[in-house]
Amino acid sequence: MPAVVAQPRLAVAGLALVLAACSSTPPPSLTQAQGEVHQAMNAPPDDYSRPELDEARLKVSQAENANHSGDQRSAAELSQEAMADVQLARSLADAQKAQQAAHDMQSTINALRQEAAPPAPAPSGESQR
Amino acid sequence: MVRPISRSASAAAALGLAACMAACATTPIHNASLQSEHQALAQARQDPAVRQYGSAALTDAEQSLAAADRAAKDGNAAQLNHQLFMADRAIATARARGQAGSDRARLASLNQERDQALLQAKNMQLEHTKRELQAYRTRQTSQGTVVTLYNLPFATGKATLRPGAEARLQPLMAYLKDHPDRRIIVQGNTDSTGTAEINQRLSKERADAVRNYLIGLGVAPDRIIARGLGSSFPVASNDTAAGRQENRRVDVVIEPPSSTAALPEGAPNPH
Repeated sequence: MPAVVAQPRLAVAGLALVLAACSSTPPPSLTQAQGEVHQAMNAPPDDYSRPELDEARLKVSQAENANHSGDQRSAAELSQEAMADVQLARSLADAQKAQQAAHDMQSTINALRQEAAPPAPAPSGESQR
Repeated sequence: MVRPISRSASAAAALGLAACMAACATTPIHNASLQSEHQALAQARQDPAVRQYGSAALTDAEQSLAAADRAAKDGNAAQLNHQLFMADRAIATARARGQAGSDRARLASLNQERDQALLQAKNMQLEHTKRELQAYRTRQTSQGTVVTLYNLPFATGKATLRPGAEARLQPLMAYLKDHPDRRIIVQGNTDSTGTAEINQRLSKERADAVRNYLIGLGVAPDRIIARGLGSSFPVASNDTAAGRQENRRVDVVIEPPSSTAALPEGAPNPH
């Protein structure tokens, strides 16, 4: 159908179909996982827990390999797992920060209390400890 | 395609089991890892903080476990393995978010505690300063509290503060630092020896010397007024040496806390 082929949009759609058949076209989840890992790698180091982020990187590269060998299903699954790793890495780092902040605040309070405390009475001779 | 070994040990066990089951692909898989993941989810759900702050991740875990159940039923080992991993990660994420959330909530109450502790420390310091001001002789007048600095070391007949004056002025300085809302009037006084004109000038210069000293230590100039009163306001007889010594003094009038009336119109209300 020459009339149809002449339509540029349909021609593009046809090209897309050809590309989709090509095994190296990454599934959307792989593209997304690559983006998330890339972003996490460029974030400040304490924004992501390292071991989980390393695992995510490994999964993405395995997903890329799976994609190259035409195993789209594995590529997609590994990508999802990588994103779950990234999410956990971020949540763990966040929990760590929150814990640290609470700990620091507690130290500040303790120091202030010490400052506000009346001067210690002279030792009575009895051991307090 | 070999999956990474680094995933959870339970998932690795599932892999082993899955390999055994691969021969009969449609047989339901009775999987110990699936059981323990269900238990892990139930356990995580018992934590109120996890429920409150990790609910989205808990939902993810539920969905993954449901998918894992279906995969086990269908005998799809690879899918089971994948969903178990996803559930495992989601549960860990929910737990981390629960911890972060409860720590943040704790931080909020610690913030209030800190403010209270700050206030206490501040009060303690004020108390300390009050005691320091007691180092001076003070009296209450309609103008406010009058702190009298006797024997402030000046060179005789001059308006130069001598060594030792710093230590005498230290409590006043601390007081001004702790009460940034207070303003003072420094009033120089002399005994009646010498002419009124000289006494007037000398008393003003000495008041200025005190003012400049305090300004040099960082007190805002508009908080200090310096006046010379000469010998017009004796507090004791000028007929005796002791009386004259009483009269040679610098009075510091501490104005009451700035009342709103004292503020210019339209000025923001402090606090």
